[in-house]
Amino acid sequence: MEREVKTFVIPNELCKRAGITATWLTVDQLSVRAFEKRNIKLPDAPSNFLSDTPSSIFHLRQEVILFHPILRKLVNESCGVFIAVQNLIVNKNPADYKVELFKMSRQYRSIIRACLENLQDDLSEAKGQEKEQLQNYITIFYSVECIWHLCEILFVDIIPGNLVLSQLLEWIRFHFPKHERNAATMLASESVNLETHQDYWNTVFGSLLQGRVKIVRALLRPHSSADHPTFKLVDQVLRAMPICSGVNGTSINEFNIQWRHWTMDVQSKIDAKLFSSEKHLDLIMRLVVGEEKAWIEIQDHCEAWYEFLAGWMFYTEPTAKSFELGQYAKRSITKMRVANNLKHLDRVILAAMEFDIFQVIKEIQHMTENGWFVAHLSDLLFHSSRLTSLEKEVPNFSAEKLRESFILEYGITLMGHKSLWPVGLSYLDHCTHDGNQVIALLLPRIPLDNEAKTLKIIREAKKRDLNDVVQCICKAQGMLSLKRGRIGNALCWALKSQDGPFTSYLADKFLQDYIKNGKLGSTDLLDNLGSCMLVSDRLIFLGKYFEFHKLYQTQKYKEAANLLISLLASKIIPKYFWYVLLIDAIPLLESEELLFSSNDTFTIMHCAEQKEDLPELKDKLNILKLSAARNLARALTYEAQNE
Amino acid sequence: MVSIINSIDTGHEDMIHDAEVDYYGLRLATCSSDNSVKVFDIKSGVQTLIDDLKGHFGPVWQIAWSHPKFGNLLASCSYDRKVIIWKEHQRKWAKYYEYANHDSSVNSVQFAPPEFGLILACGSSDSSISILSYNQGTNSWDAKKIQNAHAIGCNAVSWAPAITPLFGNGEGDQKPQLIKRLVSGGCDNLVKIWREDGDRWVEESKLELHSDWVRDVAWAPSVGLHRYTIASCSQDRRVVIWTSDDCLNWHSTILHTFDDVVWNVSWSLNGNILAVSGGDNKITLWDQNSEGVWQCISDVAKGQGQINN
Repeated sequence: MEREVKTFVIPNELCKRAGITATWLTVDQLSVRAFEKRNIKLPDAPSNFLSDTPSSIFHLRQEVILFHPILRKLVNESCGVFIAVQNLIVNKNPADYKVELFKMSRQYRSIIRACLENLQDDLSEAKGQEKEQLQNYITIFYSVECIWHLCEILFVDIIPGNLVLSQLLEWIRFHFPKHERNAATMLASESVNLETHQDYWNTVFGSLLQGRVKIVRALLRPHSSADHPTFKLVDQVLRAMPICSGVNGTSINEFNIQWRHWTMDVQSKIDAKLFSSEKHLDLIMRLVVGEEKAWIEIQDHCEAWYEFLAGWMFYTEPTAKSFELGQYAKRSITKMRVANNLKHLDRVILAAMEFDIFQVIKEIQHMTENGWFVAHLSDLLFHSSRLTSLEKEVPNFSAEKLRESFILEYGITLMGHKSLWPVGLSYLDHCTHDGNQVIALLLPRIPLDNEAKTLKIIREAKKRDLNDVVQCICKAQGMLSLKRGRIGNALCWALKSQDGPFTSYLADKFLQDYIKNGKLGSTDLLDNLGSCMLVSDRLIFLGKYFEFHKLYQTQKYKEAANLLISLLASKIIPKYFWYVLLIDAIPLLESEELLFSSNDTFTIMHCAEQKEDLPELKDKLNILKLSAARNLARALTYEAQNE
Repeated sequence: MVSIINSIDTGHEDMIHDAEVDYYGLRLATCSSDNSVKVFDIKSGVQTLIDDLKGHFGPVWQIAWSHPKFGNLLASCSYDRKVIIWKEHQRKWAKYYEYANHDSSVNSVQFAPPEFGLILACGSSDSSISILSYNQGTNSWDAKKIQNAHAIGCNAVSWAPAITPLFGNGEGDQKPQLIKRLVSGGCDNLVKIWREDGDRWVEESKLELHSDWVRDVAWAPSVGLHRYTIASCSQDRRVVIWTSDDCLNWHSTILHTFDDVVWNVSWSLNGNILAVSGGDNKITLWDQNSEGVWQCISDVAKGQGQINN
């Protein structure tokens, strides 16, 4: 595919003189700055670019129109339909969901329609640059709607007998509603000389080209000369026009015969100059019989070649099959002499009519709506088996890969937005090849603005079994809380991240804070550690020590004493905390009630001996030894008496 | 359309050599020939200078942010042969660790993927590469050196993403071992892949193709299972894309031969677009089409374009 290179200029003097370089920042941002590659051989001296001019860095971002608030609804609602499509195809075979897919396609279109209506509403109040922008969006989405509708007719809908004309007319009527609107206004005015209306004949011919014969007749009736024989004859002729009703072979043949008879009849009337007194009526008659010259005369009434095409086919090839559409389209383009002047929309429509799906997809990538259209349409075409059938024609082509590449790109675009990222995830989830890896790369990069958002991101990561992502985010949050001095919060995150060393580090902080000010913080958290504490020995110790405090405070001295002994016997006491535990033992040893057995007391005495060099213990050591000795005496007496 | 969303006046008095945003894109660090490193807050589009870090005595070539799970550490390397790791405390950065074991200018610093721990690779003009690992238990840094990695000098280093090997040694529930790898480019015109093997670093592959100094190498983030992609650029005006399924057999594709020296290559976050900057004062963006062919992209709908000055 030919791609046109867009050039963007960085308005900076230094960049111009020195050169530039770029690095990627986020999903859709690029950082650009002046650059001079210095060589090791260059002297370590100020560069040639030392100056007073500021050295700036420029952050560039592609403009995503989908991020405009007015298009938010389109993004969200189409995501709903997209998911419905994916759910639809999970359990069914293609034959079953063809009809459903057609309905989905119409839902997509009604979302576009609603979006256009919103844009129109806002346009009336907008001013200046904003107005221009909205106008631009309207142009884009009108094209999208128009192409989607045609693609729906040709590639998604099932057309009985491949007779494409009625759908084609419906498409034209929908996208050129002007004539119908004008006709309605004129007829409603109940005027008797309608031809004085400046759009009168325009509307008559417009309706004629759209195959609305009844409206043409209705419009001719309020003409001031309607009683004139020529007018009456025209009305008669038009009333007698055969209509193709059935789709089977016999009814088509029958229709063709009727049609031939009717046109021959009209032609003989034209030849007999029965209409020549009224040039407009004469033209109508010559058009309906398909006279080349008449169709050249009418060209100026057509806004687009496809409007011409639909009218011309209605009167000359009413039973054309869809696969013949391409050749007629080309013929119309030649007749309208617009071959050298085809705009983007024209090219896409022609490609669709030629059933060149590849070309359609290639062209619609350039619609500047950031891949919304190509992603949704190619997904729909893929599920309608329209893309898979191309695999036979094109070597190395994978329909699935093509679909995924568009969905992936669209999803990635949405991932770059601060609140649309969950929508992006929904799309990436339906990329079976690379979706999960892309999520793993992008999800942790979403800035964590607040706790609610952080938790949401973690939930999404868990849903997809991205445990590494969960751990990384929790650890980062823990570090952040720590930096802010909120140790309890940090511990909470550390536990979620399952990071042993980090948890130990924080548990140490708790214990050291306790040494400093005699208080254990975040009691709620410590109280509810449960099995979480198993992540690190230091945390187990902290948890147990907290439990000891609780027991002591609620005067459950016996249990407190037991816990203290089991802690002393364990191997998880931090060096710096030994003396605290030993000092804690003193009041328990001195308690009125006997709390420690002789064995327990030996344990305490043994520990005290081992740790007697601890400087912090120095002035308490004697008291500890004395208490222990007294308690031992009590315990031995008690044990001797109760043996 | 592409628009400039931010234009940051750094206030550096001389050429900026590197500008990096942190993991979430909220802070920007810059380094310059004026020997300083600056940190800016760029949240919500307003730039505020947070700190001006002075510690180097020569041009500072490159900077790197650590993953936030290690706190926002910043590493810088300089012509003064030193690597400094800075740590933030209440919006001020202080030297956390200084590494001065290179005999010449240090050109490149890169933190390893966070899965591996807090590890920094440094490439120097003394032809060696250092790998500094932080040990949480002892709160100390351990340095390993790859001597003679590139004759005349190493210009750039880049870490491989942490991918678990397809047929790892993990049996049952055991988590397969992650393998640490990095790629380097140097003045010997070579691109080399290094792998950690026990407590040593060994040369795993030597990629020969460039005919002049290799200026930058960038290992792409991994999307798609177990496919490795590296971009290298050189003074021979070429950018080469290296791909491999096993890290042993590498396949090369010349992305393009440019009109001038190519200085830098940078992968987008998910590795689908490569930004190439060269002496022709142009930055071009490249992606791979569905047939796997690399192409310069300019698709307005995708909003990517050539940036020219």
